Amino acid sequence: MNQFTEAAVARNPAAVQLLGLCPLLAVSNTVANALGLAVASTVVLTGSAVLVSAVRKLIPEEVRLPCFVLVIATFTTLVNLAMEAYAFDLYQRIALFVQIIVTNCMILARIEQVASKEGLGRTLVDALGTSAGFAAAILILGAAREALTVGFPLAALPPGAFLVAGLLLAGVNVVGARFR
Amino acid sequence: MRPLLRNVAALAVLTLFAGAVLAWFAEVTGDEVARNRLEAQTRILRELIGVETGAGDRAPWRARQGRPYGALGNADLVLCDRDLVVLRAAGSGYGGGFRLAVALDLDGTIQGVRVLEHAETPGFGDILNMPSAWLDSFTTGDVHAVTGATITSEAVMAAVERAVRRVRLEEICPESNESVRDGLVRSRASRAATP
Repeated sequence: MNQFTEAAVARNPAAVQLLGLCPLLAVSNTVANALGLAVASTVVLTGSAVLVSAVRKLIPEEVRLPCFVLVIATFTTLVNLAMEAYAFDLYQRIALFVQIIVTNCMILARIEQVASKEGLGRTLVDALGTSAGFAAAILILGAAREALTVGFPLAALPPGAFLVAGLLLAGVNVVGARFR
Repeated sequence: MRPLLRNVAALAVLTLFAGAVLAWFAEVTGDEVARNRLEAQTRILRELIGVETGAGDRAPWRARQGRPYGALGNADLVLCDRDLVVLRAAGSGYGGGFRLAVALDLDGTIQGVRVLEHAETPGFGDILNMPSAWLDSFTTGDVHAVTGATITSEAVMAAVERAVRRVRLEEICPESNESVRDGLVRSRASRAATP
């Protein structure tokens, strides 16, 4: 299995590692919102990981975490500003969840484990793979919830997010167990 | 270099770099962001005027962006029409500042309240997003704080009350024609006569 599929499928941030669940549950009420957050997370994760990887030898070990958070916060703010300027409708719906990407442990984990140690190539592939895995999870959850809303209105509400996400995770575990 | 100095230097350089990048990008997007915010507020205000009074084609209302108005305290006058005054008021809730538009008729009765901007927690702050039975309850004069969103709802109630109390309707339409001012004075006088 190559590095991209490993990051996206075998170590899927949402379905396997259960990271980034707050935005996953909160913003998956429609496919459009899910897509918006997936794109925002991809830009922040990829941008921060590549920048950290490029300057990793200059970052002192003791202050690496504040440095990583500073880089992530900068990219998050850039994405937030871009959204407010060029995608205002989407911004009004999901701005809060774009802003809290900065606390998303999925992103800090990839930077601590990969970007701060590996070169640009491996970091980029890992970031894109992780982003693709997160995007797939949130889009599938968003599509399932939007489709279920027709006969099961609860699916669009917060409790529905837990129910549908729980069922999807159970499905992922069943399929995963077959492959192992 | 000593470790402490190295750490401080690394953080300082990175912070300066991040600040510079963000300042540049805020400059690039600033105009567009301001335009979007203004458009969104205009939409809400139009809705407030159209829906609450049933009048579709009103005279273009005079926007007074950021111009303090003596008789209004800290509220802004947005619209001063023949039978409607719209004020913009501000307050501070649980998650940060919010801005409101309050429509009054010439008796000083609230005709509608809309939230232009807020930063309350999603879920708890939902009473501020339209459609909102709670915001509509301002027009009935029977408004109560909302359980679970006490800070938010009490802050909005206080801000509306502040704006309405401070407004002296006789003084806020100096450029409007005499009949409007007569009407204002009359409606106030008649209200005073009927306790």
